[in-house]
Amino acid sequence: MNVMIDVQKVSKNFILHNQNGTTISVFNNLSLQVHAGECIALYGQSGAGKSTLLRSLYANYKPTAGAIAIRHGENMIDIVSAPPRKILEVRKHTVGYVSQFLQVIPRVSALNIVAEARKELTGNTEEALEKARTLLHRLNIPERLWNLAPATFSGGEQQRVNIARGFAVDYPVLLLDEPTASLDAINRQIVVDLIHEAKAKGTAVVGIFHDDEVREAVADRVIDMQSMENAA
Amino acid sequence: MHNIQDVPQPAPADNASPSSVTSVNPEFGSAEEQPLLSVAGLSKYYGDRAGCLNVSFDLYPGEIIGIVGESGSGKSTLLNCISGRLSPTYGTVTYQQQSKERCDIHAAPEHLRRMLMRTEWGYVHQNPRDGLRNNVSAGANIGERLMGVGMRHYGNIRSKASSWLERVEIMQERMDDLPRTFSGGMQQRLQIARNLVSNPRLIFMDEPTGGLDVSVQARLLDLLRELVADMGLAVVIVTHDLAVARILAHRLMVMKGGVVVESGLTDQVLDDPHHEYTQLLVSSILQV
Repeated sequence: MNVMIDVQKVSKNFILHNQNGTTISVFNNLSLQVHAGECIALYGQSGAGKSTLLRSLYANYKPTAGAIAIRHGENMIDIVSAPPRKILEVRKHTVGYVSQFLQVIPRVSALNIVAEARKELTGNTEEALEKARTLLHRLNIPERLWNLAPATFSGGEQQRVNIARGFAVDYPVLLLDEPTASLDAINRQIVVDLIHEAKAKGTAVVGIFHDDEVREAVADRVIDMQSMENAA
Repeated sequence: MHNIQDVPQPAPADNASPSSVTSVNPEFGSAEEQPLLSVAGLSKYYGDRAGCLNVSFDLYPGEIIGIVGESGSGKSTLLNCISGRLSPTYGTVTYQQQSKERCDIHAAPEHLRRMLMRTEWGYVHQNPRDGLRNNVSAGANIGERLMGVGMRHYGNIRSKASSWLERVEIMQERMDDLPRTFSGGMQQRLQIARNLVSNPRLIFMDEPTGGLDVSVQARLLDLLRELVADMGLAVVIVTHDLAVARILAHRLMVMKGGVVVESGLTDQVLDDPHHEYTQLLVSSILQV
């Protein structure tokens, strides 16, 4: 199986300059490989560094040391040292990220938010909108909401829009930060199905799943972040 | 095994000369792309005091770079030097013209600089009155750039002006009105239309949403985001508003005291700021 994500001895500290230079060490010398079609669940109490690692995999956080190589086409790209332009290219084609909360842009409709990344990737607006409709429909977002900006949606609806957005492109690598946190059982199952389908297509998935049932249903391996810290 | 063939490959460049052997490019994007603008070692001194100090960066086609920092940090000095409006004390700004020819902006003759400013470049001022002709109609404001690039047919100019008014959401019946009869938000949208009508490749923006109230700001931001993406424009945008930077810019340069203290991918700089000053800026945002 192809290695899609290769985390090599990564450490992350936060130095808070304006709070007496306090240094917070989140993890040290962490190494991890994720293969195509595999789903890894990050596990541990709040504060253990799950989100920090997930954000580092998206290059949203910059590790203090180490390398994170992502398979981008035929190449392994180290997103810790890559220039911004390269990272944006890797995100466009290869890495999708579903954040815990939807970041809404004023005036942009739910449908367009979901379709945007696919539209940008393929250049085919109509096809991207069609894919967005299919996903919104599948995630039980009522059609009357599609053309509204999601700022006024309920928490669960916003989260489902966010999930639809992450699944609108068949990314080879998908990062999920508590995708089912505020969903009911029916929608949770739909997200589980979507993850299974992505894995079957060869997507490498890394996620944080608080719900034990969901984690057991999708994860091939569980990484305990607490033990990572101790191992350092 | 991922279906890599599902990912669209970039179309081969149509201007590739036949002599150039097809190089195997394993990358998705066009890594060989030349920067549109190269800024190298740029410093501007006002007497002994540095307005901006030793700034270097490359800007690629379609890339949007945000320059953020508090008032007096040197953002506007830098923007003025990059856009050829102010001569730097040291350093060079190199621009690759549409003709692929590269020119040093500050060494180039005045006529070339002026020609670029009204064709391949645009400049959006914070105060729309600085960027508009206030004693001619809205339509004429848009038409002027078209005449600057050689259009002479009145009917064509007028119809193009009218379609641009529509694109920036200004009612067409206002075409013959003077800009000063417009609201601030409309004036700003008119200034944007005036700049974009000649299909520029590079736009400089100085606090484009600065003087507008928030609802008007949101509309303008959304419009800018769409237009810039549709036209594949490269943009250098100066703003002190980090929310504006997050929505528009691909990457950021954070300035303090004339020096770039931190730069990188926009969301990385804002979500994981490393420099003391950036941390202070980000933590100073008021939450609504």
